[in-house]
Amino acid sequence: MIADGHCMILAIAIPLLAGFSTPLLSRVGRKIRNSWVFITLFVSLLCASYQFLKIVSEGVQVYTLGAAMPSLTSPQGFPVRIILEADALNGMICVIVLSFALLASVYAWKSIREREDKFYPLFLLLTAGIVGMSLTGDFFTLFVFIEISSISSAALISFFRRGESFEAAIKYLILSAVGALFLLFGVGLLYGQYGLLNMAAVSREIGASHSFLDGAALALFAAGLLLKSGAAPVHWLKLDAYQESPVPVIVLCLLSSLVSLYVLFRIAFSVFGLSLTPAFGWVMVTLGVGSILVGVLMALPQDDLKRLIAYAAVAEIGYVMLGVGAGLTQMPVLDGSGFAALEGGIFHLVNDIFNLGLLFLIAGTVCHCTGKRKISHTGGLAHHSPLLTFLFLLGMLAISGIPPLNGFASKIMIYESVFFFSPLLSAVGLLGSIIILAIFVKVFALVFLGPPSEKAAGVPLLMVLPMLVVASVIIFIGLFPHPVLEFLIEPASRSLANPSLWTGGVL
Amino acid sequence: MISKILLVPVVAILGIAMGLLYRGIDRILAARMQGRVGPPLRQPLRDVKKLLVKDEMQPADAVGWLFHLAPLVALSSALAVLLYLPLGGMPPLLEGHGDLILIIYLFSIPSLATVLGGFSSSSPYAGVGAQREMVKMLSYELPLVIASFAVVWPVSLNAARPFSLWTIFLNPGWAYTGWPGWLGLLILLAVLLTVMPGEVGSVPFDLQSADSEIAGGLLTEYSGRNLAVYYLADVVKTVAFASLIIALFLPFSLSSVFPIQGLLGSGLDMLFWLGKLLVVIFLGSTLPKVVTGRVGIDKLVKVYWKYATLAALVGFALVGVGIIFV
Amino acid sequence: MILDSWSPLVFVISLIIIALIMWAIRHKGQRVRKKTPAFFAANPVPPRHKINYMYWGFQTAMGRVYRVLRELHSGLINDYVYWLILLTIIIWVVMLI
Repeated sequence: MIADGHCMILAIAIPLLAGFSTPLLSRVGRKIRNSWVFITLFVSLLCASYQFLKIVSEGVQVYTLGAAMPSLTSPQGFPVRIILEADALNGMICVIVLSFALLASVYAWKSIREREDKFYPLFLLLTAGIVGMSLTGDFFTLFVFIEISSISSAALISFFRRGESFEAAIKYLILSAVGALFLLFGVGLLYGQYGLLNMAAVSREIGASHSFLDGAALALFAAGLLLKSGAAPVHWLKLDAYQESPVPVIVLCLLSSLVSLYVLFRIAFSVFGLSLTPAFGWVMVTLGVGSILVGVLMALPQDDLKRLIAYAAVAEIGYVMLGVGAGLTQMPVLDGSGFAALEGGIFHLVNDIFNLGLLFLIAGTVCHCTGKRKISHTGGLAHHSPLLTFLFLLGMLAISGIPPLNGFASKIMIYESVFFFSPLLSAVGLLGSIIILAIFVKVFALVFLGPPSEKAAGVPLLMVLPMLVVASVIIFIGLFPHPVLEFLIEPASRSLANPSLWTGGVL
Repeated sequence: MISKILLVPVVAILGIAMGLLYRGIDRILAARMQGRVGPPLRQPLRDVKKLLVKDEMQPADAVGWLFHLAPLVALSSALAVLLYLPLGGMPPLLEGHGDLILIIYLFSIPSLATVLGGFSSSSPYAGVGAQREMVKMLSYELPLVIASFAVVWPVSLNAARPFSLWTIFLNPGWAYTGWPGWLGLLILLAVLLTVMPGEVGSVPFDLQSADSEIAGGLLTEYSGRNLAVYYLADVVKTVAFASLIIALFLPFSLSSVFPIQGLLGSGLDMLFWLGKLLVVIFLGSTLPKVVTGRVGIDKLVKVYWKYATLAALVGFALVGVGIIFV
Repeated sequence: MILDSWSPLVFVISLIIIALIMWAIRHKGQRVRKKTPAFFAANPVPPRHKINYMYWGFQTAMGRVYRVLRELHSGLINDYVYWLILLTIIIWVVMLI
């Protein structure tokens, strides 16, 4: 089969080409264009899944653009050309990204009703950018894909054309440009020293001890990627974006922040892994705890529904950084509680995508159906749509980590392994979880409970369907965490803990 | 495994029985301390039976399914905690399937369910009571978590699986810290005894169902069998939290001191445990109820976030010092 | 150490068993007989009670923290970029240790 070895590039290329061809199909008809978007995303998802199956059976997969054969990465002993590399962690994230993009496009079918011919090309472009970010094995390609996703997100954020939307889009554009610039400086520092742009090759060059400039490069990478992922103290990027964008864009922005967090882990573990001191891990842990506290405390008094969930997203990113940072302090030898912390962090990353995705989907639906953005103006929705109420209850319990849902499984791993690093930090994490519960109880009570308010519009089936899919995955992961851990999360964590697996794929 | 699942109903019924018994003892002791005679021991059981006979009313504007589901969730989760605690000096029923962190989360579910029930009844009084309960829950979690983690800390350095309640029961923190640690553990015990009235919802931290202020607060619109279920959840929570305190701080068993083996030894341990339960419930529930009055919401937040947290941190530090001194 | 102390299935099964027993106890009581308006001491219930400032007790007790936090979340891009630069410098300095 011709497409056999080319799944990786197809997963990026199909949304990209589809994005450019969508305006032509818009002239034909609405249903044809929407089906075209759905089909292309579905085909890319199939490519990503096939590639993931190959990773599970064969190990790390690489793809060299423009070479005679996809696996011909290093003809003269060092890598040339753009190389995409996917291992257990990558492949899983790519599949999750494309599934969520698919669900978002199903949601968008009914919820985006105006300027659709401008929406879908940007939507597909953003998807391609995020998938590219997750699959790349090369620093400069990373920069390119980050810019693609930043620019298309900025355009999509201003979709509703309100004053605040434009403000949010401009802020997003400027801030992500500055962040990407920092990233570019870091890339430049590495290129200037080693003359190489491929991550695996640079990793080999850095070896077991990094130079002064390498440390500066890592600091620049970390700052730029933390900005893009929305961790404190640089969590500003995503707050306005989540508040103002339409729901499918929120889902994709959430995916882009979690993928940029993944990229940071990839750089920290696989490129710099063997040369790290515990200092960097402790920085991550501190920033993680700071994110938890800032996110949780600022979410408490919020009135705008989506902004409140955005702050909760900041807090959840803090948990991921807490877990992975605790694992990072033990590089290069990672076992026992350090590895458990890493596993907990990666597991929480995956769970976050589902929990926050569900909450944002519901929040956006509430804003769409009632036309109101502020919590204090809504009320009594439980009388009109018990399904939305039940789903929000599920999301609320999942994100606070109430047993037996998926949030609890990942949080208990993080608490118990971070405990061995510092019991107090673990206690702060547990406290943050309870405060998140309190925040969402307030939202639930104000939005859904209370006497019935004026009649709200009904929720179309196509908007409810993605929520049901995400909710069933949440329940499944919650009830069966052990298979998920064994088959998905542990190989992914092992691939991070062992930098040689990543470099071995290319060299 | 199947035998454990079959014993679950037994533990549940025993939990309710113990809860009602100790609530009766609690009321008699409180009455005697106030110079009254007090109700007979069977009074809580009579109260529940009476409530089951009364009519059940539902507000017209309430969210029906949540209104009726909330009491059930509250009672079920309160009983589920008992499955993971060492009762009567014996290992927890579901040992190995849940640990301290699960228990801390499970303790928050009855309060959560009560709050959602209060909000769903669309009564203004219930709204105020539910808000107060949420703020209270926010506040007492920090001292609770710091105190529990401080007790686990010495255990974690000396045993595998330190979060399992049975491991903590067998390896008490008292054995692994020097005398500064003992002082720290005493402080932490006092902190948890302060958290107990807040957790259970009794004076001085009972403003969520303040009769004189907000006409019943959280439970204003609840009557009949729903109120009976809430009452049972209350009594079970008291016993459960007291069992947690015993498991963390007072795990000593008599049969290891006096060499009595077999069934007689277990029976003795059980009686000793019941006695410890009485002492803890007296110190954590009866004594504050009689001696203090209701505390306003801002004072409550200050008590928990400032004083109790500070005390817990001091205890934590002392335990740390004690670990070094062993 | 892969989550050996948490079994969600056992938890759910126990919860269901307990819930069934509790349902049986509750079933002994009377069913819903009346649907009444909410009790408000014979006054009409206000149409929309404002529970927006739900955590004002918490917020007033933590007043100083919240004032600092609100000042930091200024909304100006200048401040945001300053934070980014500050973060880069801090990480770099820590890395040098």
